[in-house]
Amino acid sequence: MTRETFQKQILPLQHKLLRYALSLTSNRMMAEDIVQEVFLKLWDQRQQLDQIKQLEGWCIRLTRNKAYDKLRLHGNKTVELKLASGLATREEIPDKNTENKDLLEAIQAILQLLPEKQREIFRLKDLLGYSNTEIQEILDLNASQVKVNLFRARRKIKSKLILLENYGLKNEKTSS
Amino acid sequence: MKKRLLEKYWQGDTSAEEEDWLRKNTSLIDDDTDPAESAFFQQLQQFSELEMPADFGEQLMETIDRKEQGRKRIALFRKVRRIAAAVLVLVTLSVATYTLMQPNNDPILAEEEDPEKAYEIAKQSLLLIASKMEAGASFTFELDKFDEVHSKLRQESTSNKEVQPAVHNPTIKHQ
Repeated sequence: MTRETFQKQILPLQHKLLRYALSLTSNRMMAEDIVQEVFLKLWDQRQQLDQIKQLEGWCIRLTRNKAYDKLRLHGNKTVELKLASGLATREEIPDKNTENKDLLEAIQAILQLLPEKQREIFRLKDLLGYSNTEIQEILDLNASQVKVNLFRARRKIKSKLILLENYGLKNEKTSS
Repeated sequence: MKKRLLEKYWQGDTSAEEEDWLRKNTSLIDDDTDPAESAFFQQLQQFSELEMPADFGEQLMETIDRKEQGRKRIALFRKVRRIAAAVLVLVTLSVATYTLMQPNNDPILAEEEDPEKAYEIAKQSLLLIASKMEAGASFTFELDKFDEVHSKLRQESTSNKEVQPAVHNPTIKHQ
């Protein structure tokens, strides 16, 4: 793969890979580092990239592995758990992360509701915008597995939203 | 339409375009949508707008160029090292070959295949050694003789010293 092809085909994936890394780490700086490392690795492997059928799926897998490595290195998902439980203080989070802190916390809270397979399908479908067919290829699943897991994931989220809704209404009633 | 699409969404039946429409339109606060549902789509929309820094591509390519230059330098160093090693091996081999190809100037003492001639050579060699040994032995014999004479002289000189006072005393007596 030439430099031009790399810039044309691989570089545009940067934003998707960032969002994927963010959904795994909830840490903006760490996610950016992961994306950079993934691209450097892809550059090193550029001679073999032409033979890979599902290039985006390959990039996603590389990003996931890199993110897991980083999380293991930084104390096994402590960042994710801290953010998800809202325990992280402003001093503990680097400046760059604070701008998206609330959003990342909210996304992480949604993801934490789901079991692993549903979480991964929700990530690819609703956070990265992949189609069901692409998800099948990336995760090596069949069409019905993707559909069923996506349906279950959304149903779980919907039930949580209903709970939140009812809780909000109750609060409004009690306050009035 | 929005309600029908939302139902479709929660059933997992929406297409990518419909989901995109939902994210963009349901996130807007209006009376039709539940606030929690609206917040959910708003979060999805905000998340989908997160991007890498604008200069990332440029910086990445600069990093790649730097890495490549470093690799080229290392590759050149390795090449030079390989050539130097090859030259060293060649020099060693040529020196070794040259040394081995040189004619041997050492005298051949007994390289004779004919047994009679070999016997003659061996005999002559042994005779030569014997004559040398004889000469050595005669020299040591002379040395032995010299030692013998030397010890005799010493003995005689000591015996003379012992006899001398007996010779002088009578002369004193005579005076």
